[in-house]
Amino acid sequence: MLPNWLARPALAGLGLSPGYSFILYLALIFNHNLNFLQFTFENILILFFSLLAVFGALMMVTRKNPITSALYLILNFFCVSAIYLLLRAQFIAIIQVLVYAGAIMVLFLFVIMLLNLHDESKLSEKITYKKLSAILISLLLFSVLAITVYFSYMNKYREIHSSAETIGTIEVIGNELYTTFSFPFELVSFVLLAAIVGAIVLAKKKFD
Amino acid sequence: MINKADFINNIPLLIIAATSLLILIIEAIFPHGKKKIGEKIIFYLSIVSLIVAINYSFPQLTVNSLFFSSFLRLSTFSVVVNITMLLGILITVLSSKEYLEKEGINYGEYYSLLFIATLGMMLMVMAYDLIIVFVGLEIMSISFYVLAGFMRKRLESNESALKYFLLGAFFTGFLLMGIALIYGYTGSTSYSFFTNFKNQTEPTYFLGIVLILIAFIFKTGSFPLQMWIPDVYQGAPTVVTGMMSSVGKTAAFGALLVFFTTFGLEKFSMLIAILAILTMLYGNVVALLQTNIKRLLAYSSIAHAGYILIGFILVTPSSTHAVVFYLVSYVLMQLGAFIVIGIVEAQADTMEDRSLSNTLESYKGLGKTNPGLASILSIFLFSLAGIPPFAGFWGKYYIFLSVIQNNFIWVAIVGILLSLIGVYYYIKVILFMWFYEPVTGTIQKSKSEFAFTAAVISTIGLFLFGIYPDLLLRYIRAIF
Repeated sequence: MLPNWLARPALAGLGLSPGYSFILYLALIFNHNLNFLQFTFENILILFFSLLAVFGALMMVTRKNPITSALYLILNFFCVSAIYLLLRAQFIAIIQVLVYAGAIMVLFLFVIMLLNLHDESKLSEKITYKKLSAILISLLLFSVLAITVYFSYMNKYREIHSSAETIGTIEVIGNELYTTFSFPFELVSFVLLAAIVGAIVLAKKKFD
Repeated sequence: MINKADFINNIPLLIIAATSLLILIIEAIFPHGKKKIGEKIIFYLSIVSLIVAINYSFPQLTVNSLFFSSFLRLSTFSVVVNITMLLGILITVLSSKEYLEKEGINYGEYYSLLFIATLGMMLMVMAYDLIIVFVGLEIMSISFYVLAGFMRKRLESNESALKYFLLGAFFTGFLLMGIALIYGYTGSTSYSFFTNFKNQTEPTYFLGIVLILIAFIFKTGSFPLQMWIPDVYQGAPTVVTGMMSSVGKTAAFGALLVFFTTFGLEKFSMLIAILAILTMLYGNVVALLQTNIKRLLAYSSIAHAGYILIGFILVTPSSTHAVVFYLVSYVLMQLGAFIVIGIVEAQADTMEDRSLSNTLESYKGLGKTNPGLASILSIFLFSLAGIPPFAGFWGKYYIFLSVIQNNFIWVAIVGILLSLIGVYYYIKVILFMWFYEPVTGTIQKSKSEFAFTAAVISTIGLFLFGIYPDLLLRYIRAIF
């Protein structure tokens, strides 16, 4: 067992959600070759949103109340969306807000309310060695990903590509989706169909 | 752009997709209730459309080109694997009817999801683009999650679906991350593009390949990521388990083989060899301790994943032929064994008895109470063990032969030793059936004619390919 004051931050720092914020953050810092000296307005914004995203993720993991956690997760989603926007991916930024911060979070909140968690102290769990090894493995995965991204892109892509602005628009994505990628786009409908049929089959109250 | 040739050359794919939609419409027009017209129409429609799809697949054996703006590739390999999977699904449909009726879950949605899953599996094998691999895998997996939990009133079925869903969704993330890294490095997801990148050691590219490999190791149930198999296979409806463990694995291995040939993964051969041996060791040794026959066959399916993985150590024409032969025989015998288990399960009247009928104890004396069923199950188990007159023997033979030709003789020796361990637990079930007295008053006459027919079809296939393997090899040798 770890002491409780150490356990919570350890779990929080190494959880999955901060992990991916960190990767984004690292990728951004090093891709832009920021060096903490190039204080262009854009870089400062990126840094600000990255740190805010990490903060939101940390707070999400450490809160006892699940609804507070969910609200911090929304903060994280919005910050990631802002980073996408700064990378000129307007469409993905909007989708991030609509789908994640909108639809999925509403679903989360509904589930939390339906589960009716009164006793919040039950939710806080002790750190066992099994969990510690899980944490170590996720740390390993995170470091592998971070190091790979760092070494691969260290000397390339120092600034946003000039064509990025035109690629990220809804018009271009729509055009590509209905011409080049029309086949996979239509196949995705089967993923949705399977999910809809499955949801009804598994959740319908009574079959006659 | 999509043109007419795409549709003409992919009729089996279109038939499967159309049938899945048609079944849903029929289900809506004829709701189940007093009259069972809808159930009958759906059942026979599924069988007819599968036979038509198989029929239209055979002329494609000679086609070798790209379709749907080079997202799909029809080759002899993909067509042979597709025919195998369609045959497996046909046997599954035949065997499902009575089982589902007994469980009270004979809904059209089952068949619809089965067809959607088939579509996904066919796409995975035909894919010529990582996006299609991903979409196909998702179509297959989502259908499987639902099918695993189809017995909504049974706790173990719910457990199975939930475990499968959570773990499967997690490892889908690995696949997607891998594809993203490869796309980030090469700037494309098309397989035609990656031939320029063979033997590339750039860390991003390498990590992308490793992440995709991890996802496939999970989907095929090989060693470090095999933990979900026993629980999922035990809880799911038996007919679904048979389908997932045979046809589902065939799709995963088929897609993996295309992935291996495209990316030229010779540098992973040592890793794959070790993984294959650990998979065989784990599956065979843990299966010795099982008392539930579904769990026993789940562990045996892990062991079989190990044998198939041997063919991936060095992907040469001979090892590809061996893997395809193994997959065909594996589909027949694994599916057949689960069909028989399903028939035995459907004989019990109450839900508790049906759960209990999966214990090895209840197979005691099956040879006396139901000799036909017991002899068919014995054939499947002999074939799984690799005893000569059946196709399972030739599968193992070609696998070990190919690995010896590739100078990995030690893998072949270890593999043969481990498959000898496997013989023990298969023979144990056969002993239970023939050399023990039946437990009193357990088994009545079975009324599962369709399922029995399906099992007999598999047996005939095993005999045919076992006595005359050239019948199958003639098609397989055309792959390269």
